[in-house]
Amino acid sequence: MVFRNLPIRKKIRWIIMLTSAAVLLFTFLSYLVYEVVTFRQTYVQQLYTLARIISTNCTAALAFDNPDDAAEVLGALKAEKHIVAAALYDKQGNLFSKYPQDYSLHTVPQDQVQFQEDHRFEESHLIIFEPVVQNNKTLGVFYLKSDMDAMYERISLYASIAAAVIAISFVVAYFLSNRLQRSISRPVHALTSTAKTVSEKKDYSVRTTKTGNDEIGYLTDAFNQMLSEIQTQNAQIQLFNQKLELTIEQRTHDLATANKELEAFSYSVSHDLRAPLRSINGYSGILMEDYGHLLDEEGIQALKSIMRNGMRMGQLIDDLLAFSRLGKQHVAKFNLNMTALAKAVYDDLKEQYGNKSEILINPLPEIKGDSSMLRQVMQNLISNALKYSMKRDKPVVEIGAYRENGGNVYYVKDNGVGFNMQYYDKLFGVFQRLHNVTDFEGTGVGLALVHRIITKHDGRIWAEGKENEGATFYFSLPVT
Amino acid sequence: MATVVLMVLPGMRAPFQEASESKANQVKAVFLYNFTQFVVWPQHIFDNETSPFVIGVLGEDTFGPYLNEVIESEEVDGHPIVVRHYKSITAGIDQCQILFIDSSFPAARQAIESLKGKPVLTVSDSQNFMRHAGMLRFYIEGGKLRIEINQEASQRSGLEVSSKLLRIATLYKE
Repeated sequence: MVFRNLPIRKKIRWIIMLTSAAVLLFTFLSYLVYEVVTFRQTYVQQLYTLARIISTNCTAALAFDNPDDAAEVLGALKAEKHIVAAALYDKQGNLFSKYPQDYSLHTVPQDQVQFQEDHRFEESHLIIFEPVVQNNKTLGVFYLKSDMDAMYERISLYASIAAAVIAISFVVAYFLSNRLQRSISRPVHALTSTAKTVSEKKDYSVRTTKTGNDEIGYLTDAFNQMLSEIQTQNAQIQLFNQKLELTIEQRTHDLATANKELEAFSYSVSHDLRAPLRSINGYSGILMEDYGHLLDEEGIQALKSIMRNGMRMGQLIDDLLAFSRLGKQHVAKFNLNMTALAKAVYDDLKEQYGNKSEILINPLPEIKGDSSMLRQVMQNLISNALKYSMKRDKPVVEIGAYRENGGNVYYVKDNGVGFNMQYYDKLFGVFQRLHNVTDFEGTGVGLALVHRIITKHDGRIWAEGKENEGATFYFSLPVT
Repeated sequence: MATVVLMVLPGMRAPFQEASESKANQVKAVFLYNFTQFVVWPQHIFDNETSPFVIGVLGEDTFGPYLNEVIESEEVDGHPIVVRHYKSITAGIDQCQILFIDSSFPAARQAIESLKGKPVLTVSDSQNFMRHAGMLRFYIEGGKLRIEINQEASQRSGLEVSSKLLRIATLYKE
């Protein structure tokens, strides 16, 4: 039970009780000291008086050498129970009479007799010398020895009264402090329980009742004010939040609408572009087939260029259609054997890129996903890897996977031309190309498509690369 | 009580005398002086403030030098103490404040008679002294010198004997 951990109620009680007990104790102690001092003084005076009475009555006995009479006078000391010994000495300092009669001789002083009034405390006894005088004539000296039991009896009586008073005061102080401490501990307790309610229930509407205008009252006011301020601020924040949510909802809705419109637009544009292109391609073919022999070399080249660009545009439109279709497409998730998928995709593509690459397909873990979509992802990434490493002497493409953060991470790595990380932002954008069409053909839609598919699968795609040192494309898919 | 003491005394006296006659006289001399402390004389007996306080010895001088040694340079209320010796009853004896009548003095009764009504403390160690209306008598008891007092006689002479002295003395009733 550490004092500083006690509740305030108990602390105050202890403080009051200990303080009052200490004060009482010190008061009693000082009174005791005073008592002892005054008692000793008074007792010395009393004993002198007694000694004077006795010695006055002993003058004749000393003057006329009558020890029996002296003994009789000294015998009267019997009435005083605290007198231990008394002795009468004549003018020469010889023992004349003593009390009690059987008191052993050597305990009364023989040589240190003094003929003047004197007293001393010796081994809890008071010793007094009183000269025996008749008509200014010193006839001898009277020795009186008293114990201090009277004082000890008084002290013990005093101590027991003190103990009783302190005990009673302790009880009274207990009840008094019990009542009085409430004026302090009650408001503090009220404050504490309010603070508890606030911190536990997050209820800022509670208030503490003020009981007085002291420091606690001030604290209560400040506390209540703080609470109301928090409450107001909370309400404001909530209002802001609601507004914000409403705005976000509105914006999301607007955005979705705009997106849909945009997709519908690009779909229809792509679709509508196809019809005239088909005519261009068709009539270009007819022209080449039926009238090719009429054209000279330059004409043939121009026609071939028209046909090639028409084909390219067709491809572009197909890709755009596929990309915009993805927006509406539903993701149908099934267990997929990624290793088999990668192998199949590679087998389809290897002829197209000269069949010269060294391919390393590590075992890939199964994953749940849309098979046609993930096939498109693999196709894009592997064809990119083959395409951009094709110009190497020894193209190497590695496909692998590892586990990370509860998902599977698949990667496709090549030792091709790579890319500059400075342009990383453009990597997954539509129609964004980091390389020239003449060097590497492509529409610039592939990685944007891959990005969109992976995002639809709640996955993530990223890449690492360095110019002329190859690139690695990663995509992670959650394992459900 | 007094008669008992008297009967015991003769037997007791012999060893005391033999052992130390002079010691007994010494004690008597001291006692004579001590009487001045325990008896009050009427104030008018002195002619003036420096008049001497007279201790007279009637008859044989048994004290020798002791009495003079004891009273030397002593006073009673400012009156110097002097010792005077008388061989017979003369007019001067009534000038004494204390008159010791030696036991060998034959006319103790006459001496007391002549001092009747005078404030003179009469002292003796004579056995019959009290019967002659003497005031104070020394006697030996248990080897110690004791005092017998005739309080009525002293009162008649205007002397006031201290109660302390009365307490340690044997009282003689006439």
